[in-house]
Amino acid sequence: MKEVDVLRYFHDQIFKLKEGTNLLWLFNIGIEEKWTSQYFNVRDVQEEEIIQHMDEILLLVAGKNDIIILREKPRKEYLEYLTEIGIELPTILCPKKRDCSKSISKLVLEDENIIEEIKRRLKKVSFCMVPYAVTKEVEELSKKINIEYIGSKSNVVHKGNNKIFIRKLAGDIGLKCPKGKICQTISEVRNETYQLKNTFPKVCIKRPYGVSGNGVFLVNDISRLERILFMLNKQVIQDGWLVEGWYEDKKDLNAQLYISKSGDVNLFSIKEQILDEKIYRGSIFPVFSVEKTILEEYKIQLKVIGRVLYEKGIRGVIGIDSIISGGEIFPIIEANVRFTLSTYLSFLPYMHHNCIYKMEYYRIPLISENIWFKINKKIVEKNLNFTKEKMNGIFLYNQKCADGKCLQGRGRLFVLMVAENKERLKYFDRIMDCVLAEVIEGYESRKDNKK
Amino acid sequence: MNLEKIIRNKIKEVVGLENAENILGDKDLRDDGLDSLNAIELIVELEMEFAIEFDEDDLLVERINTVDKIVELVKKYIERIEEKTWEM
Repeated sequence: MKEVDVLRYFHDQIFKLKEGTNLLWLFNIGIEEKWTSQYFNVRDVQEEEIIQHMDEILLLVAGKNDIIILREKPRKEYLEYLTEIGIELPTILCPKKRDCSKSISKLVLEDENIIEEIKRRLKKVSFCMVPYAVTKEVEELSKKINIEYIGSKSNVVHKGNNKIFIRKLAGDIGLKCPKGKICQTISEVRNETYQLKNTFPKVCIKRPYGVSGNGVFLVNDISRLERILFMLNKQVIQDGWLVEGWYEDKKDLNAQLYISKSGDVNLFSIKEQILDEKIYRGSIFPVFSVEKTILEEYKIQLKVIGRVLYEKGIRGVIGIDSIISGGEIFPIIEANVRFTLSTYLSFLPYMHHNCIYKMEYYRIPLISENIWFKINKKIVEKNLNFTKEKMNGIFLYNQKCADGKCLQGRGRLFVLMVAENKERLKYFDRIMDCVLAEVIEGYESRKDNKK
Repeated sequence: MNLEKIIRNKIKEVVGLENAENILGDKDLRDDGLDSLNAIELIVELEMEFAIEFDEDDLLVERINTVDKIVELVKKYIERIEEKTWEM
């Protein structure tokens, strides 16, 4: 899969690093949990563990001279499967401790062996660290092993991910924002919600921080409002809350920018997002459901946003969530000053220009240790698996997230579909549903199986 | 209305589980749509209904993923309030 130009996609085309510099990839997902620790939250430990194991996505982007740090060694069979597809494997390092309550950066910092191992490799060749997000721990690690990293300083990352900050910034530069406002008191939130309910069937109330729908409360029925207000009242939030109308008839887009230290803004990917109301489930790219003229205007606005973010001190990879509704562009609803899951797969269109890519995860019960392999086998039997010869088909990845041996409950089956056209993509969708129904007794179609 | 019936009604309302009245007491509600997003609302709803407050240690989906667990947890908090009232 990773041909020479694709292999160096992030290295040369996005980060524009010096030749001879290799990358040290760190999937330190979960920083939002720290930022929201003072909020009233309910944790789902089983789900957190699955999310931590999405780190295997690094196997798809790292070059053979790169290093990736994973929580656990991937299964041998999975690595063989990747090699067969043509993926050249990087060096994989894993900390000794397996503790999902700690961030991967923390585990690395506490593991002298792994620190020494990285230092030893650094003596021979130069490396640059690519974390999922720059945190204080990443900065500490960078100092400890004497390595540069891609991205802004951790305090800037924190500021840039604040939804209130982004809303203000969009307003300040005159970009179109969803109807609504920033509220400082519970009573203001109540009044604004009532006001917006006159125009919108749903209103969303957002806390400054939150990921995957956490911290975003949808008021579809006004009877839910008091419950939500009771919850908001449980913690003091300095920045206030954002109350906005919820646009039903919309396209959700995500743009990926890279802002270099010198201020170059590189818009390297635009994808349509697949959402379950407010929860991210996947992406389709390139975007074919939005008119070309609107897309061109959107790109211009993104460049403006990039330059303003640069002035605010923001560097590195930034994911921008936008919506298009009624022909109007709302170019920045939220920003992630860090990688997102879809960032890692942004290289795909560079691999094969004329294909449509769809990445999505399915919720599956982890009923057996080998369920991921059983599903993959069925796809191979139907001759619909992705191969390096065909350069299209269905490709399952992130094996650990659907591994009944190390995880429990409901896993995530990550699927990438590479199709020549829309019809073929629809066919792959149907096939996936059939395969899952064959392997999992009582499986309901994906459309009915959102959770 | 007894405690369990009220709780089942709240599950129906918040999680959107139509058969909440009949679901087995030890059935894992995560299979039927309970997640960290609606769990937070379910807890708030229970707190408002029974005038209780969940401890931070209980703010885990795993603590409220079956009807039986929720009933036991709510009972614990109600008893705690009753003990406090008795002491006063």
